[in-house]
Amino acid sequence: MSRLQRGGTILVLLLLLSFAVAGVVLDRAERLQLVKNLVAQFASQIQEPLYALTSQVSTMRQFFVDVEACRAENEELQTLVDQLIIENVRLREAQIENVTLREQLNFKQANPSLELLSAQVIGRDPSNLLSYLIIDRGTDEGIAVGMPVLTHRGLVGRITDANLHSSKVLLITDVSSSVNALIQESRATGIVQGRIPEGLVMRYIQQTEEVKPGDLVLTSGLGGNFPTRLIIGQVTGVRKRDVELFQEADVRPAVNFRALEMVMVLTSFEPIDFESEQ
Amino acid sequence: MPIKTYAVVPLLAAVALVQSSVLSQFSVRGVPLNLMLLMVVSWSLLRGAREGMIWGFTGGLALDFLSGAPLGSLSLSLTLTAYLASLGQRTVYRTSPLFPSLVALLASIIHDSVFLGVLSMTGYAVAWRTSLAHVALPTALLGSLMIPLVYRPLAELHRRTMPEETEL
Repeated sequence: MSRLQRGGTILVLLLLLSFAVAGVVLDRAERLQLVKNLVAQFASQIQEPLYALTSQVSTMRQFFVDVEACRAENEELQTLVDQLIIENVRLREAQIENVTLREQLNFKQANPSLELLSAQVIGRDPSNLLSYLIIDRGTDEGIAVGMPVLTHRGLVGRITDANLHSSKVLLITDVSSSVNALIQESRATGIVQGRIPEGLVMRYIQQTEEVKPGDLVLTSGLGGNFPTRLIIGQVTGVRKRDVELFQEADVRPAVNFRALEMVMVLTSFEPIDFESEQ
Repeated sequence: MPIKTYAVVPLLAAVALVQSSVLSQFSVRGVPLNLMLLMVVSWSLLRGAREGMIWGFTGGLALDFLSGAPLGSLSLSLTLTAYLASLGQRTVYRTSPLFPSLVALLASIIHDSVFLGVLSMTGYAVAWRTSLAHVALPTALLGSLMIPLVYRPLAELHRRTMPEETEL
């Protein structure tokens, strides 16, 4: 930088400083009020909309930030709600399972002589014309053909086909099912057979026997296919005609077959196969 | 591109599992839907006897493994039903939108009657009158109402997989 240039710069600096000092002095002496008012008025004309605009932009930016935060929060809450719904369903299912298992446990404790194996229903016969269940236990878990299947409420059926890890259960409501039975009160014997639509009928009851609605129907144990004293159902109606050899009784099953989810297989019972013994 | 037989097996096996484990729990006034029958009838109407019978046999066999009925009884009744349903393909009424429903109604009754006949011949106790009145007929009516839901997607599958015409 040349000496001339340096001198010019210093001159400008001094000039500006002197303006500044003059400003301070004049302001202290309140001689600049008019200028200050004019400038302030002009500035305020610009400042006001500018501030408002900035404020709106800021508000808008905050709005978007809030929306984003809300969205994130909403997603979190939705995830939480989903988790709670799943947990709720799981807990309800666990509660239902707990009740079923407790009932099974009570039944096992009330019948200590019976060896029972719990099984889950995993399917039903795909044909509408047959009444079978598929359960998740098979020969590997000790299941064998002929074993009775029951719930704490009563008799369900018997195993007709056992695979390694699944088995088929013929329900007592199938028309091909026959169970030797007796009426608890009168000790009248007969055969309980399945009937369409879902239900039971007790046939071959002697005309001399007294049967009335409300009587409990139990397995008699005759024939060796089922153990004795398992509940089958309750008599709802009796058909007695003088011209016929036997009377019949409609029986309402003790088990709700449509709602079956868990059953017990009586593994300690071995059915007697008269045909093979002969 | 025609559907290969080996691709049909997993499809119909899945349908059998759904029918046994899912549909059996959902019924309309106690009447369950026979999805396999509706699929076989639809495919027979769309593709004719040969493919219909392959579907009937395969689907029936898959159901047989899950049923308490003697093995082969459902495949027999479904194969026969598929053949009879495929005859509908030759009629002039096949373009009517109600035609699949009518065929499904008749096919369902025929299928259940054949199945009951097989059960009866193999020593099962069969209550013919009550089975037909309380099970077969309601199932057939439900099937005829529901078949459009099965027929339409299968018609689309048929359109996409139609065998190419061979030049003579």
